[in-house]
Amino acid sequence: MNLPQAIVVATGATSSKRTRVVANSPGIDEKVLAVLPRWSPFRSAMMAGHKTAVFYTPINDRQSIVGRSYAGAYDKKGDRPLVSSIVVVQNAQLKTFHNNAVLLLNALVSSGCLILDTNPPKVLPAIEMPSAAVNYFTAGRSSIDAQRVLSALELHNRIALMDVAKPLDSLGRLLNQIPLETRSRLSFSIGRRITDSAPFDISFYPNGDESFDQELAQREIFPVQCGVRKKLDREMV
Amino acid sequence: MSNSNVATSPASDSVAKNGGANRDQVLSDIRAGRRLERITSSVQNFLETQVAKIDEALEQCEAAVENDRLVRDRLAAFEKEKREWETARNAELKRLSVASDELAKAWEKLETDRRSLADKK
Repeated sequence: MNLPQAIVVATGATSSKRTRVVANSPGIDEKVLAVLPRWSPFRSAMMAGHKTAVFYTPINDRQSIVGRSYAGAYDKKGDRPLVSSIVVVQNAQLKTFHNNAVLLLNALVSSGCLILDTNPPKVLPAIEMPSAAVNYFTAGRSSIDAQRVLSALELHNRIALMDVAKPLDSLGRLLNQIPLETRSRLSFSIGRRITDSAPFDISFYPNGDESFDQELAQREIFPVQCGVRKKLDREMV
Repeated sequence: MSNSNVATSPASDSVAKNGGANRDQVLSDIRAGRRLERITSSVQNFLETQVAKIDEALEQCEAAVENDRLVRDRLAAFEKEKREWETARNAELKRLSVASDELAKAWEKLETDRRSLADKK
């Protein structure tokens, strides 16, 4: 299967105003290209201590995007831009990956895709991926209770999973325990904060940071305690 | 002419009568004995049939017990094989996951090197 890709570069620190698509594969719809900057993080949207971020969201009835954000090389002005490599995936293509975007993300990164290219061509080739994928998340369960997450999402729309060790692996296993049709509808991000332009359903936050606690409260994002430092006063589910 | 030869006395009549009764009794006894023999034979046949049926039922029961044991043994062997297969499969999936992680880390290392190289230019 062929997956079209795009590279989005954010030079702004606090908003997505200076975020633009710099290269893409042919065949990506203009409307889709137009939404890519919105879902790509700017510098201050990155979680402190995280060099990279990954994200997934459906963008319409037929398509979703998965992306990985990382620091680019210094530009001519001496700024370090934040680069996002994004792949557009059709619903049918995601089914090959058991509707689990983490499986797709892992497959892309381990194939050398979504990695910094310091001199990308303007027209990017589509990424060729195998038409079958092994679901290795079936071996073992997630440390996060899937039912608890679904209940929290039903009540609060957007949630933050707090203090999760190995978040990408835990999320992959968590998604594997969620019904197939629901799986592909849940947007998520790891390594970035929630912003107005990119309101993911599931995000990952660390515990014990007051500014993060305030941010979650202001944005009405419900914190679900998953780590060992449980705070029972937050627990509502 | 005298009919002395045919003339019979009451005593001889009585003997003759008694002899007839005895013969009838013997014949009756013989008939009763034969009936009893038939009944005995019939009962014997019936009992033999029942014993044969019981033997057959016992054999079938033993075979069923044996079959049940075989089925249970087979199920246990199947469960054991299934567990072994699942363990092997999970180990293989884990190996794939680890290999995928290692590849990803290698590419991320390359990314860092690329960035450093581009920064130096």
